[in-house]
Amino acid sequence: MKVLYVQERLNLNGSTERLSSQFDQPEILIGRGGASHVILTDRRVSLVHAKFLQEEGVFYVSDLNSLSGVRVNTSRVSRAKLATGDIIHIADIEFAVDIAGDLLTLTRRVAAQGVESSEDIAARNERALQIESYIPRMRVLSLASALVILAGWFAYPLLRGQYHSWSSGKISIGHKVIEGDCQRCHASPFERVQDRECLNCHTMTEHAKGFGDFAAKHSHLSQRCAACHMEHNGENGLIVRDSRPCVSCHGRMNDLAQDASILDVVSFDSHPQFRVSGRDRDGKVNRISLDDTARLIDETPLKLNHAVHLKAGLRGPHGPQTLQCKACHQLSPDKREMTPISFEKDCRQCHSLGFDERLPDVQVPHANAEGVYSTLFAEYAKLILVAGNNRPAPVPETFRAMPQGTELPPTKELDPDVRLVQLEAREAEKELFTRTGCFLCHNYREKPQSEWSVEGSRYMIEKPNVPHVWMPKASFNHGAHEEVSCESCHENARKSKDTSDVLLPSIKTCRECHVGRERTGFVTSDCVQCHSYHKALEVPREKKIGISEYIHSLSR
Amino acid sequence: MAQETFISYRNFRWLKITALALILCASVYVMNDPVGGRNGGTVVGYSFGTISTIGIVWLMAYGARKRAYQSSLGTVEGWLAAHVWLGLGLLALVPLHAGFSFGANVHTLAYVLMVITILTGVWGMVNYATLADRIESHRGGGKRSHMLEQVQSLSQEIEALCAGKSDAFLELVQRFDFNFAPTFISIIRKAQVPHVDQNLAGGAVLKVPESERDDSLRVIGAIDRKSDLAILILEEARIRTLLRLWLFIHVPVSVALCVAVVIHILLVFFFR
Repeated sequence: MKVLYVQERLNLNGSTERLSSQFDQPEILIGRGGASHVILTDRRVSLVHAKFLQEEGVFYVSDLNSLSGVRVNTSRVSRAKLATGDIIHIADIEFAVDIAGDLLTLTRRVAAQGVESSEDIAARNERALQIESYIPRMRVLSLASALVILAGWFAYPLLRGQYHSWSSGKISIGHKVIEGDCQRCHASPFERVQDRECLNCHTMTEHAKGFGDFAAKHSHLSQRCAACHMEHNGENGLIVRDSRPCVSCHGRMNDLAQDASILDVVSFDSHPQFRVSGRDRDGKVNRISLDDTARLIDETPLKLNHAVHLKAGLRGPHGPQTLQCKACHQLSPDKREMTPISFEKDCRQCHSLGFDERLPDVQVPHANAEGVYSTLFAEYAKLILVAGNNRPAPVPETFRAMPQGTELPPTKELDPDVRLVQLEAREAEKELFTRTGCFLCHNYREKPQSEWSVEGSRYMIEKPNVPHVWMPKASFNHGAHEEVSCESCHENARKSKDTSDVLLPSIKTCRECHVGRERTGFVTSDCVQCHSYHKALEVPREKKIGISEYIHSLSR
Repeated sequence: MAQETFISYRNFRWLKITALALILCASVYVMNDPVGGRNGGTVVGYSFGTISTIGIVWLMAYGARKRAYQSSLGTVEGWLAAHVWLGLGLLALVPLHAGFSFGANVHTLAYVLMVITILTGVWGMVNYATLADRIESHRGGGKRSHMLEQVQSLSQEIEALCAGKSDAFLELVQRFDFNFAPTFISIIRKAQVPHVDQNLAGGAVLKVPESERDDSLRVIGAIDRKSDLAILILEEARIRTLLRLWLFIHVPVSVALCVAVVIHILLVFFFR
């Protein structure tokens, strides 16, 4: 067989140096020893490592039980058929196979490299043992890390308008939609958030406005919206539940303003007795302490006897019944307040405004006196004029004895039936206003004859103006106290016979459960629990806008 | 009595100062209960922030002081003691500044970088305390370059002994010899060069032709010496690397920390 062994040395200058040897033997041996045709100087090569042979025109390589074996392409072989393009590996030495007829060419490519002396290798190893060989210089690392921080956490947010990484904490849900627009609140650099930024969107109400006016007169007082509404604290900080901002003024109201009518409060423990607000006859609002029993009178012009209403076995529309407080006093749908008492809802069921046994299904409305009389007239007109066949009894004596000065039209012009309707209506009116229906609850006044008219009522009802909220400066959550019976707070309700009784609980009652300073087993109550600095934002109906318009306004 | 180190400098003077300062700051923190809760924006928060910033600048100044050989501003050992203990104190002071509020933002990033800086400092300190005095013992008193030359000379000796030898001889060499080419991983990993097992070597020598017995014993001896030297060299290199590696994190991260602190301060005052 013929074998051409070619060594291609790639020189550093790019040129290729070829050395070749040709063998023509039955077998060509390759190995480290002198007996081999092709000699390799590698410790992993056996003295006689492998042999090449040709059988029936086909070339083979055969491993001669060598130290490190023979691989053709990627597989280790003991004997393998060769073809052009194969790569033979012996130790780390590669041979490219090329077959042309009866000639097997083995090409070994060797990259030229300078001969490394022992000193060079030692020096290389010395360098390899130093950390600086693997890690950039300290200054480079420092500069790179500084640039990474500057680029990632300053330049990038600045250029991309993505400020999340600058935020000192979570934005509250209410302000989420403007989270990306820092300048909406932080209008001026290095200046604290001012109220004007808040007022661009929100409306100042009640106490806040009042405080603003007050603070304007007292230059040493300055309070910003952001002092209480601390953003970037998630949902926790936006409404500060802390009495100290309130107490900073309310603990020394007399020092702040000589004319202050507000009593000093430091905590719930030292809170003065509750005061109810009521208007006197001149319309002036008076605040009367619940301890001031001499002045504490409910002046509502109504006749209401709680004691009677709470008696067992009252006569009800469907037989005897015993009323509970909630029969009349009901919680609002949001379970915070009591709904105002109304005649239609709470009284009519038992207190009928019927006026004539002949009209068992008809009642006068719970309206003003004029409304009552016009209903009476209409109902008697239907009864007498329309029905006709159910004529009433003769005209009562009371009408015949009607005082002089009546403005009734001349008798001769009136149809007798119409006259009868009037007489019946006036009689029923008098009965309702002076003995039954209206009289049971309301104070009435009979109009002087000079004010009488044919169509109008002859009575006037004193407007009751039942106070719905007794302490408008505070809010009480009835729903949160549902576990407690009504009478445990409104304790005198069952004994009260007069409307003038004020049945509100004293602060002592609240203190059975609530305290100002934290105490085990008691509810710690700060100012905000009962008082609000200003009501939640209420946008007037005319200022409400659509979602897309709202989003657009934000983007501006 | 134990020898004084920079940690125990002047009877732990800086540990005591740091502990006292921290107790004082923690007391102020506990006693101060501002409206809206404790955070970096309160008077106490700003104060702790200012102290922390000054602390960081001063700690960075140690890098300059230790190179200022002419300086008479305290001893370098004293500076190092203060650097270590006051640096550790910042781990607690900064959370007091922030009211223990952390988030995914550049402000917390500054704290994280500070923690990394301090922890790598602790790592370096522990390395110095446990490894520094082992360098000489591992080197066996010889210079590293000399040891490396010895390794190379032994490699050549082994190579020379292999020339013209039988496959059995080379098999023996291949089994026990190794190529000494250290890498970062081989330096960090321990004991990656095995000692020559004399029993195994003895058995392997018997397989070598009689004529090569003497050389096989020589070559085993050379490999054994090379192996011992390599182990010493790599262990010494590992210690030296550990004594330096922490610094390659400590210093760049501290520089990054300074940048993050500047961004933090700029942002909190820009967006007040």
